[in-house]
Amino acid sequence: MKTLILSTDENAVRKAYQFLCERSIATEAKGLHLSLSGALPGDGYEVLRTNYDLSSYGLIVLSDRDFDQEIAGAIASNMDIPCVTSCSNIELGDEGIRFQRVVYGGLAHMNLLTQRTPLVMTVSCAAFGEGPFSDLPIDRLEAAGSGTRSRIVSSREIEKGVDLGSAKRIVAVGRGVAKKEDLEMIDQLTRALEAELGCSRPLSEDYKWLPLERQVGLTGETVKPQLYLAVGISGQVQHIAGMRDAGVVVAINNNKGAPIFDCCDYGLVGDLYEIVPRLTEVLSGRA
Amino acid sequence: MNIVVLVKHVVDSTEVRFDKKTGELRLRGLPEKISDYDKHAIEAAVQLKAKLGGTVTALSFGAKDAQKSLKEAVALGADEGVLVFHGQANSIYDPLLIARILCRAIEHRDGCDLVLSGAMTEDVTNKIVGSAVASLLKRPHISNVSQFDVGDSGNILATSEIDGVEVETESQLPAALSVLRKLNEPRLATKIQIMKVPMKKVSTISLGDIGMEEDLAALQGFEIESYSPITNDRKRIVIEGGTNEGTEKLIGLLQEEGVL
Repeated sequence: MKTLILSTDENAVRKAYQFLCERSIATEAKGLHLSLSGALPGDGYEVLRTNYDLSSYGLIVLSDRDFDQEIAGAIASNMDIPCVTSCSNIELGDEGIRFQRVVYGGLAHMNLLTQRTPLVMTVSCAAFGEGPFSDLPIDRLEAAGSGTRSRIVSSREIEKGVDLGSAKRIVAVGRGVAKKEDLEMIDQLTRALEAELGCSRPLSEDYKWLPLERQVGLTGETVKPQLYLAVGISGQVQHIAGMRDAGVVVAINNNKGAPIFDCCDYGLVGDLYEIVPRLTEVLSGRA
Repeated sequence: MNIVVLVKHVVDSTEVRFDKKTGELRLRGLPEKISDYDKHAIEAAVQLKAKLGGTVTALSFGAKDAQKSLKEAVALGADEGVLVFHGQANSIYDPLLIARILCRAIEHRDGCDLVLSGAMTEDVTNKIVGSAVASLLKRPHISNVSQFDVGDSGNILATSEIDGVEVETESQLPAALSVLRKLNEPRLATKIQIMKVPMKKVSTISLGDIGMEEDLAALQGFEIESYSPITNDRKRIVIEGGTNEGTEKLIGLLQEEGVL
């Protein structure tokens, strides 16, 4: 099937190409980098529409980055074709094309089937592999400047105090920690492990003990450390969705019925106020 | 200023489970609510109306149960709710079809100055309905808005968080914005306040009323074949032996795994 791989991010074009190659989809693929230099997606789409013939493609693939999804919506609405978003899988079969996407906070895959082409698809960035990525010739279109009814006045990178996404080890805390002052005890363990500190949603959104950028889960960061130590975290599916790709998962919780024990490699049932200091002590002594 | 807020009625995602006997995803008989992000869009609309006057209409495509969310939107300060009703609305996946339906409904009501929506739906993580509605209405869309203000002349200054970049934009009404949860702190409505909303505040229209075919199966781009559980392939080893012994064992295991 003739496929166009399009993104406002050049690397995402390569990653999406790899994703499709691994699934034997991109036999006739073209790459296109739509560079939005200060333009909004709506204006980007106008440049695309006037300079590029989209009508010859059966499948138009983008990533699920924010700008890409807006372009995807603009393409689909203008061409009057369907659009499926944030897919984690695609499969060509006799009955049509099947798509898989994550729904209900990471609890389930929604499995979709269509016989309709052309169509637009966005691929979940979480489904992209690590690389190296196969080479694909990538055309480039530049959407500079701005429209008359909307324009970007200024933009700046959002500085992150912490980058959980690239951390090798993470100690994450949840509601099992009774008060904010006790986070110091967790910090000591984090230092002994040379880990980053993460948390579940209640600690950042409800109690506001920790900044949002430390929140692991569906509405927070998606992480893939080699070691993930969940301390006093019950293990809601929304949290699990953020740490599913971790290497080894350890859970410490005093409730042996907590769902986290179904999602961990090693579980310690007990009082975190005893286990954490002991763990810190042994790990510090070992170094 | 006339504002339309796009509202999705959803089941509480934290309560959704696979039925242990049948293996089916159980979506019936669960607590229902307004999708979290949309509450922030309603709040923004109500605040804007207080400042600039006009009307706030909550618009939803849904089955009959979506009337509850529209009543709640009225209790939260919307002037009225409009439901585009379809019995099978809860069992389709097609963000573009939904956008087309919402766009037609807005046009059916002679348009509006501003469309507000949540940046995503919490159940099936749709993020493009708002921008697709804007695209169909041929008006600018500003996504992921964390802060905004509309001036007297209809100019909008907004701050968004897009792909890790903070973007300040200037746009002009008519426009559409999708909002993040950090935009505001939504007010709450009590059960009694919601109950007291007269039914006449929520009107129901059909796909036929907005000039569309009633047969959704013919319109939709995708068929939902099934839901499958996302499993956790973990060892699930519970370490016995209390604090001291357990800790020692754990460290030994983690060394074997090569992660210490």
